Amino acid sequence: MYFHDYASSYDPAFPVVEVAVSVLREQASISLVALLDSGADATSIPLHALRQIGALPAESRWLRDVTGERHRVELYEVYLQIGVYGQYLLVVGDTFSDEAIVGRDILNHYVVTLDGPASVVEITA
Amino acid sequence: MMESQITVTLPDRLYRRVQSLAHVKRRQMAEAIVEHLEATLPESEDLPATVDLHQQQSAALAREEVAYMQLHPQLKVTHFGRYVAIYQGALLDADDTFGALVERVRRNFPQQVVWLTQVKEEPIQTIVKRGNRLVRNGE
Repeated sequence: MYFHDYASSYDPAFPVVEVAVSVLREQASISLVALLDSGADATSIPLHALRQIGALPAESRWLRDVTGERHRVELYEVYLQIGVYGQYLLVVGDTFSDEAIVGRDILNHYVVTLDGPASVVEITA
Repeated sequence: MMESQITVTLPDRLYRRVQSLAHVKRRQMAEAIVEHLEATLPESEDLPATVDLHQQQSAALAREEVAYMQLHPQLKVTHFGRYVAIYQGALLDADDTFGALVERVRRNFPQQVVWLTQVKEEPIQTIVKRGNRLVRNGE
């Protein structure tokens, strides 16, 4: 089971988790605080963080944002861990934001409880 | 700290992306651009090698994408729903689980760009970000 407090630096407070991102499971990782966003199809990580760990691009897709604008993005292969829960996946290399976002490609693997009144995220397998 | 001022003309579409970035970061647009450049631009002594490496990786990815587009009709028949690895224009490996495929590919090709994807109906998928953020005036 994994717990993390909401980030109160956002108004309203944002459910966040700490993610460890590496190229391979056993390799050194970097830690980032990531927003939980069930409105995002895919997880995204700032591109400079992906380059810092030497992640390689492995796919390209269209990304459509909330305004309906569509542009091409490169996806990078990584091993991403939240507490004891880890998986390989392709993440969007975000060139325009310093925020990491955990999307439904990860959220749908777990039971994710957003306890708003207590400002706590709980994740179980 | 010394500062220099330049004027840059942005295409409308890029301007809107910068505007969105500034909103998310709660910064003025110029501040958001400076922060973004500071975070992403390599130090000048590393610049040629770093830029060259990333350009080479993007070019390699584009070549594998073209190959995947050509292979896609056949892969839909033979590998629909499975994860495939495309390298140097050909099918390299496939697996039912993404993690197993990545670990095998990286054991044999630790630094090479390999196209990895799940074979679906459309060759190039669209990711949608539905969230939005409220910002106050001036942020």
